[in-house]
Amino acid sequence: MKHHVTTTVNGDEVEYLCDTEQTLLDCLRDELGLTGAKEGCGSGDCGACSVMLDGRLVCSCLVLGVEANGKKVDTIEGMAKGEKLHPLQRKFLEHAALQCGICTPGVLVAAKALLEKNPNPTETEVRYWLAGNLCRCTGYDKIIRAVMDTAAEMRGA
Amino acid sequence: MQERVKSPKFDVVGTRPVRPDGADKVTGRAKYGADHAVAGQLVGKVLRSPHAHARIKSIDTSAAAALSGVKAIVTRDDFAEQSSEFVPAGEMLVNYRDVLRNVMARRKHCSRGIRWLRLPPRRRQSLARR
Repeated sequence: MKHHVTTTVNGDEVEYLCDTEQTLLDCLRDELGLTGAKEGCGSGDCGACSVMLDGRLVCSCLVLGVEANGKKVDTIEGMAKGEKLHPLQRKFLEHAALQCGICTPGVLVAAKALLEKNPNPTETEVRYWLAGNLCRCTGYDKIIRAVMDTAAEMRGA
Repeated sequence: MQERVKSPKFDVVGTRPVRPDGADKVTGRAKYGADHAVAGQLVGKVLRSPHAHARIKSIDTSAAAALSGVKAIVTRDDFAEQSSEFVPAGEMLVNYRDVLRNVMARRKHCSRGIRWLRLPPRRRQSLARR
């Protein structure tokens, strides 16, 4: 039996049909075609599937599709406003804080959540906050620098 | 007198270009293998061993075959001619045949049906090769 789910994704009201066991990640990717969130591990270790659910950072592979009913989901696809990149996205490019890019959507969603909660984080706070987002390319330093730089710019702006 | 070596001018070396695929990657638009979907596409699912070291006692594919939309199931028995490099057939394998059971289906499925005999973990590669 399929469940009919009505939810808001990146500000748009959307509907989809899903099975009980389908994760929110599967629903975003397979039902809605939003493939920005990636499945790295499927067990909440890697953070590649990070999305915001009612303003809370979650691993969408650990949330069921039906749980999004009546809630607000924000994904990487909603981060840039048209062609205008979010400061985090711009700084990630400037600092070369990505290589293969599989972890990048999750890292960006998580970093945005951090800066909304704490606009002036210490390096340690950034490292702890992003500890749930694994990256096998960059060695993290460039990611941390990009987030710190973005925070400084957004505070100044 | 020795002429001073001119410092060469490079177009790319020594510059800090923004990677050409960067914008697509930070916006989630970049398409990776798993991001592609075509009409009528089959989805493959690999069931791997949940144990560090175990022997496969039996594989029952009937439950998986009974699921709607399942087109094919591939087990180690489909590769009987493939030699097993590290450990004998039927144990947890680390070569081509460690694909225990592939289910090809219209939708993603995951189900059980393999019986395992759990063995103590093998810590060293040299032991595993015997």
